[in-house]
Amino acid sequence: MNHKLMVAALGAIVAGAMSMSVSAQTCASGDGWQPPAAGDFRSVDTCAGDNTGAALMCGGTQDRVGPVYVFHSVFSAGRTFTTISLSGGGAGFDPVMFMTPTAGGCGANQETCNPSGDTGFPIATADVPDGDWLIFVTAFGQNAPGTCGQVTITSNGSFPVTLTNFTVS
Amino acid sequence: MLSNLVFLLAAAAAAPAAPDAALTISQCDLGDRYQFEVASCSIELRNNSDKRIRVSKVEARYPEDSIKPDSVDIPPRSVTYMEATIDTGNREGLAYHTFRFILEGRGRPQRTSGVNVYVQSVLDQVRPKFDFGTVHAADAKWPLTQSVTFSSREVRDLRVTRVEEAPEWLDVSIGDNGRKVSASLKKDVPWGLKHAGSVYVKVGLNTPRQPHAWIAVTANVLGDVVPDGNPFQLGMMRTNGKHEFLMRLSSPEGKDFKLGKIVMRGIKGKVLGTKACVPAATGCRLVRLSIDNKQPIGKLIGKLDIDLPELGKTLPVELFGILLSPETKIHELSELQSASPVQSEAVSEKLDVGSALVNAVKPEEAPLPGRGPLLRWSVAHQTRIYGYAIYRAESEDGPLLRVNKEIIPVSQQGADRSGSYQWRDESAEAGKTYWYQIGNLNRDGTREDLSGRQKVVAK
Repeated sequence: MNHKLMVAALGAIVAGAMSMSVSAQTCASGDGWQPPAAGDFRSVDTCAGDNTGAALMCGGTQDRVGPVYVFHSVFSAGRTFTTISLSGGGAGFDPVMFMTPTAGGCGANQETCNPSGDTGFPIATADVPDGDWLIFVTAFGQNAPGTCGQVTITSNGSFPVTLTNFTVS
Repeated sequence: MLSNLVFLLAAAAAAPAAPDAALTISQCDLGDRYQFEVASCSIELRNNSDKRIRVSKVEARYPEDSIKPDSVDIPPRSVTYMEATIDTGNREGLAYHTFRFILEGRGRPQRTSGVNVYVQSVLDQVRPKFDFGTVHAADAKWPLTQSVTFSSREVRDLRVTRVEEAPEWLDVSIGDNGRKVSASLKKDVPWGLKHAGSVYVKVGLNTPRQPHAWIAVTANVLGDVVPDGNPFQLGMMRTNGKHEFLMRLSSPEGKDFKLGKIVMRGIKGKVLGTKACVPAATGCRLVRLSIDNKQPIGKLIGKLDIDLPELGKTLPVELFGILLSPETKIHELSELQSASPVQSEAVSEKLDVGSALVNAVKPEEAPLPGRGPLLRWSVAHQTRIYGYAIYRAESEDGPLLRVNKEIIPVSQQGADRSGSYQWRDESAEAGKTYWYQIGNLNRDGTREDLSGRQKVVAK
């Protein structure tokens, strides 16, 4: 039985006694962030992100020293971008990003906080399964406590690598 | 690597904590390496102040990495070095091995630096895998076999020589004169999920350049008792909520079963008990779980080990969820507005498709001096490329072998990220005919053919 249906059926039994968190165990597809051919970007200030809660994320493997800005995006089968890159930061502020599916079990990414990237290392999205994803953007775990600032998250668009000239003489 | 800005010129200044100018710690770069290589480089620590600085401890992010000495005193206005040693392991592509430097002083301030490395494999197959998919243990036609055939453009006549490590529930054999590895799933394979990354077969190769390789194993083995999801989805939770779940366990054969001890691992929570399914059904039980709010937020990954005493088995069920604080907003990426005018200009420049390829064709540069075939090529849109490899064959359809020892590093210019290159094959024999092909090595470790083969008679 689909987990969501099961929970819905059982919900009546336990209503009032507890709140239930559910998610469908399907690999969703649909309209998501579909940047144009030349790419797209979003600029945000991570200082506006959440700065409460525990000091560690992702099972304790990811230090969380500053606010975390959380994006949601639906990766659909028709997406054309192959990387998501991150820019911004400065002295003492090394922005990092990591993705996590909102539901596991869709064929990949059972590793903690994976895939991940930073300003020098874009996330390759070609192998990322379709579905709902959260993208966490925050300061590198070894920056100073409270570090945050302006970042830009960018898709690379769909321009393919193009060989424009090749000769052997 | 962290200091490199990617793609856009970020005009907006960050608002970080003030940098500690008293101590500057450099990164070091190991260049291009192969998998399972151990290499070292020196990290420079420069004391810019008039006081002694003591690094009391250094912690490596990866347990297989190390640094020497493990503590150091840096006199005023002086420089010292620490030797970082890393193991590239099974990673592929760009990697950054970080070290945390803990300084002596109030609050034990910390600094970070690390080692940049690009890891390549001698195998043409990137991240090879035995993928068994979903296996219904009762109905499967045992043994189930998967194979991987290896080839290499890096090493002539590459062969697998031995199986070094493998799970006990896999029979692994080498065939086709060392070019093929087969794995057969045994009937007694434990039930549950097996993941790429955590379950693998390690084999030995006949080259000192890379003496080992990993083949990942994935399978979801369904047995006599099956959970209603594996991983079982906990969904998104907030730390001000109460999170209880009912996991349904059922027998595909409709046979009743008993549950023994159930242990939750990896996530803070409790098993509250078990009960009959509603409506009642034979071969069906419910397990009640609760998840604690007091634990690291973000992705939660854990496991339930469910003892099935009558069957003499343990059923592992993975748990997956996301825990966020109540204040954490989730922003729809598709609805956010692009903001800074400077960045808009940058995007406008990118959008100028008409000129996208113009920059790629560079003025003729003087040819590289020397003898041997000269390769010249230009490429646009190199964003994901780390560098190039030159492959050579001695017949039109003969095997290709890489001839440039060092990766030709990418050079990106202009809005279209274009670059022009020259490389001369000084190892070619005069009068002999060769076919050349260019391949791109991508930042994520994948590889692609950039060109077809071009024939030339070496002069």
